[in-house]
Amino acid sequence: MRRIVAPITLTLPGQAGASHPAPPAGAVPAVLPLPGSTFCWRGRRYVIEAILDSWQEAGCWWEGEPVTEGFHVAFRGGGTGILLFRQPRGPWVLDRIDD
Amino acid sequence: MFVHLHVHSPYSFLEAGSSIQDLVDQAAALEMEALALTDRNRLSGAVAFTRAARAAGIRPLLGAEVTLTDGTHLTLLADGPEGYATLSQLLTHAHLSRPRGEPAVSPEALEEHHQGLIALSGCRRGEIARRLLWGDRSGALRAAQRYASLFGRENFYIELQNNRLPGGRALNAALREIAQRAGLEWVATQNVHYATPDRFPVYDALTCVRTGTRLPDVHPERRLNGTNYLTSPQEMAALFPDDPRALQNTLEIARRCRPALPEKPPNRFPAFPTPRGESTIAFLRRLTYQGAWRRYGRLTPAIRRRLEHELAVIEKLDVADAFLVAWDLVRFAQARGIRHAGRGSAADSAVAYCLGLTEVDSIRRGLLFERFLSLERAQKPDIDLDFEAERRDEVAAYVSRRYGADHVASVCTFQTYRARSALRDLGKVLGFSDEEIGPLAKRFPHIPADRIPQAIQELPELRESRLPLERYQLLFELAAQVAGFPRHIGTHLGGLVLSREPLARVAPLERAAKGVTILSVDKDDVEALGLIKLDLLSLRTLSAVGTATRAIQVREPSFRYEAIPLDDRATFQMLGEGETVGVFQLESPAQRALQARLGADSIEDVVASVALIRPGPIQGDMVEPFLRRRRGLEPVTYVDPRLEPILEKTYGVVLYQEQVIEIATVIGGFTPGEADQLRRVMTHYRSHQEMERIGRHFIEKAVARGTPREVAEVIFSYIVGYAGYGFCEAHAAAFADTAYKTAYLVRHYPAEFYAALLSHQPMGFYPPNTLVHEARRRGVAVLPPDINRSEKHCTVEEGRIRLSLSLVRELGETDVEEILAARASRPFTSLQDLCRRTRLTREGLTYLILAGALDRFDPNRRRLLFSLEEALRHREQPLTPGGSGPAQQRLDLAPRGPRPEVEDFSPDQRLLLEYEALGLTTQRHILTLLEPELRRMGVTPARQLRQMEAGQPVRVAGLLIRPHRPPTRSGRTVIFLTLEDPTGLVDATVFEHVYQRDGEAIFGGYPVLVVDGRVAWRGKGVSVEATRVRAFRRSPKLAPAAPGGAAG
Repeated sequence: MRRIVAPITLTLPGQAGASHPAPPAGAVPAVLPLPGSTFCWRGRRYVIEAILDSWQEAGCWWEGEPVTEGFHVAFRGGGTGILLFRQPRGPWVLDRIDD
Repeated sequence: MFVHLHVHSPYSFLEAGSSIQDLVDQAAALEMEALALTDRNRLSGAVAFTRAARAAGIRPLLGAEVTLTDGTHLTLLADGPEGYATLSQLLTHAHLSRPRGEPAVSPEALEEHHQGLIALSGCRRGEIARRLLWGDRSGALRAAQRYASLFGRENFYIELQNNRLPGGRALNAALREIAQRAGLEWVATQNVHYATPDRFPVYDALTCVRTGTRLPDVHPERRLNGTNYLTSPQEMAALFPDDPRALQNTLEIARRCRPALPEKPPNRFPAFPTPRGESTIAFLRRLTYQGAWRRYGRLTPAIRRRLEHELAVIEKLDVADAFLVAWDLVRFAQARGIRHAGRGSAADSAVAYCLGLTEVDSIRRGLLFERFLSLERAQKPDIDLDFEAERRDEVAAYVSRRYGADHVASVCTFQTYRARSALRDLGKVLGFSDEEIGPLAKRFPHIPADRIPQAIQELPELRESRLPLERYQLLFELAAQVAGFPRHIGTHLGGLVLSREPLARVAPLERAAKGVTILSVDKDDVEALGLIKLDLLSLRTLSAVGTATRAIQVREPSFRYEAIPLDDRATFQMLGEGETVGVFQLESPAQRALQARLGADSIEDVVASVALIRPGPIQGDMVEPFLRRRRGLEPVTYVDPRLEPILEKTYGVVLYQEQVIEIATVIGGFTPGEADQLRRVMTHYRSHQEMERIGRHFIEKAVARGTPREVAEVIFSYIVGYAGYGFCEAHAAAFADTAYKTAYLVRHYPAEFYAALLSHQPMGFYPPNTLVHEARRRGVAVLPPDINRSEKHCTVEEGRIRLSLSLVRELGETDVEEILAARASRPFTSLQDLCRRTRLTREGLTYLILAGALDRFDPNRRRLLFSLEEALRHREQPLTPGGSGPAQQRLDLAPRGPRPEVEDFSPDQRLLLEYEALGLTTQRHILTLLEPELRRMGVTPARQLRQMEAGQPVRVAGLLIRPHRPPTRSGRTVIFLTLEDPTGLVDATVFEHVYQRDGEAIFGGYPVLVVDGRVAWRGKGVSVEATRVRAFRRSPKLAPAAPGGAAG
């Protein structure tokens, strides 16, 4: 996978607009890149087909770093990527891509 | 819904971020019907957890996460009492068959002990999950089948977790597949290590403590995220959205399990082997009456009634065995000449007195048996026996031989985080150096860790310190959160448990330091398991008494400590002057001040003294009335004549717990047992409303028995004033016996007794230096250690104390034994001879020289030091018989030629170096070095205070000894400190406003303080009420040595 680390705007299915506020981090991810969610990057539109795996990272909490949700997703039409979401408000970040 | 089956508490040692109570409270808040506790390789939290869960209406499930010998984990749950016993045996084997601190369960042990257990396959470190992560599916399936075969298919579950780790989904899918292929059920757990998400930081920090890392460091044991908390059923449903079966199975397991610990534990105390045909109680009765004849000579009806009453209660409670076991131990100790004394509430028992367990005649003193044992309380007897420290282990070894090593173990104690330890451990984790954290931690008094934030606000030694407190904000926050968490398990100093059945079935055993086998259950939880704890305590005072007695008997063969008269005028006179340094229980500054005011003239006064200087009497405003009435300055009145026989021995003041019981009995009509329960409830009351309710109950009962209401209210106010803190009279009486007798020894045999005290350090209130100068003030000369005369302990030579070799710095026990062994063949003749015949280190030899132990070889200590190198070099060249080498070595000839010209240390230098070598000085007090400067400052020597009048301004200075702040009636801070100068001790009282300004000087670690204040007289005792406290910061200037080494 290539390392990208670029902020993106993820649109959830049936919803227009940018990221939304999320409740405090718990075990259950408060946000999900649901199948059908879309984002654009380098002129190309990506559609999430499925969530292959998800995890959560506490980060350097002693330095105030926020909790990050990570998702390994499959794209419609092939390829996978890793999306990160920094609690509580994002942004979404395209961390890696394999296309 | 869902039940958490895999949960860690702080008894997993540095693997949990929430207390047991917090875990239970959160489970209750989530409306869970049950909760499991599965600490790592331990069941230490079982009793506390069971108690907390039951109180919260939650069913407790007990288990453990065990480590197997291949390093994998397995979660085990007890399905009932048998399962608990199995788990306990399994954990015992895991601990005792392996090196300490590395418990592990072998497959063979699991084969032997698995009945009654339900097993879950564990976290990612479980064998099955691990194999799957390695890609070994067939190995994982085989492992699952193996466990299923061992535990039974219905008792083994595949464990799924969703802690939001990468690869988690795939792993869980694979685990489900293994379960299906093996025909097994599966459950969801959350691998809980704390109650709520906000406790993740403290858990993460404790992980760093455990792994010896700092927060920024990476370590495989650091969790990626904070999801290991008690998730709600709704969260679990969201984490396992397509798997309700995994959640439902947790309920099925929980409902299968019966309570592992019964509400009423069985009596597990071993049956004492009685003579054939005689029951335990009959044997006890026979021994009691034999003892009674010895004690009393004539058995009056009152004595018989009392004995029969006690024996009836003992029989009903089925605790006769405990008395017989204790009697047997005392008999063993007596036969071997091991000094012993009973203490505690057992001294309330006439049976204990007749058996020789205590020396307190409870019948004559009118002590209530119910304070010790009652039908209403129905608790096990708490029998405490003190033995001389050095021989206590012989008694413990006897217990083990008599009842079987499998049936006896020491009770454990958990060293838990308090302020200082929390700051040190977590400071390292946050990256602070030892040099920075050490002094910071020392600034805090010995308080619980959760009082750190309050201490920073309130204590001047922190608030006014120049430390950048804001730099430690995170450290303070984390440290406050680990209050009370266990860090280490160790041996309780005196507690032993004995069991009828092998102890391993009752609770797990493990090994502590020095190979001692301990029961890994806290001493306060032992009774909940049906065990009785015997306290066989080491009391160094008894060792000192033994040593002193033997030394006295060298010149006075007829002396017997037990025969010391209890009415010696000279001893009481000494007590009345507050000259009690070295006296057991009566030597603290507060006690010395009390003695000077009390003017004790009977053993009763000594009993009261022991009880008076405690938080309760001080806070309950008993000390002043007691003293005034005792001295006839205030009339003794009783608001009800029925109080007179109860309170006349304490001049109308409620001082003892037994008096509270008697008052409740006589006035309120409670039975003695009910009254003792009342006393206990009052001791632990949680709210003002609860105390009011108790008061109403008492007053109603008193009024019903004809007591006027206002009188009943006044009487209750006496008891309330005392609530929680009064002293047990029996215990005070037991201690008073030793206190008086040690006072007698101080008065009549100071050389022998102070030598004994110095031989058994650390003990007592004062450091060795103070004891040495106290002895000197009493006219006893103190001689420095001597390589050819000193022994392991301090001795007495013609009325002078000869210090021991053990006091010399850097000389350990083996070094001292080596010196004595080498000396046994012939005395040492020179430094070179000493070096050749021993393997003492350079440091040890240096300190021997500086302590003056080798003055006999050369009084010039500096010259001796200079020749040390050469002496050591000769030692390293081994003798070769017939070979080459200086003839001097082979023939032990003294060095030839004139001694090198070396100027000796000045007297001041010798003094300082002696202090460094011994921690004390023998001729001059160390503070004589500062005398010129202190004189210039107008400091008054301690001895001269007695010539001053009350209210006179004064300046005093000296070495600071043990400043402390006892609780006070007003709740405001008062510090008591003692300063030692060459002429004696000065006690100073520092009140709140002075403390707020000058507290940094008192607790900042400064060795010498200067105190300005006013002279205060109380009775025969003089002290200083401080108006200002400063640290004396200048280091002493040494007078230069005069030419030729003469005193300068």
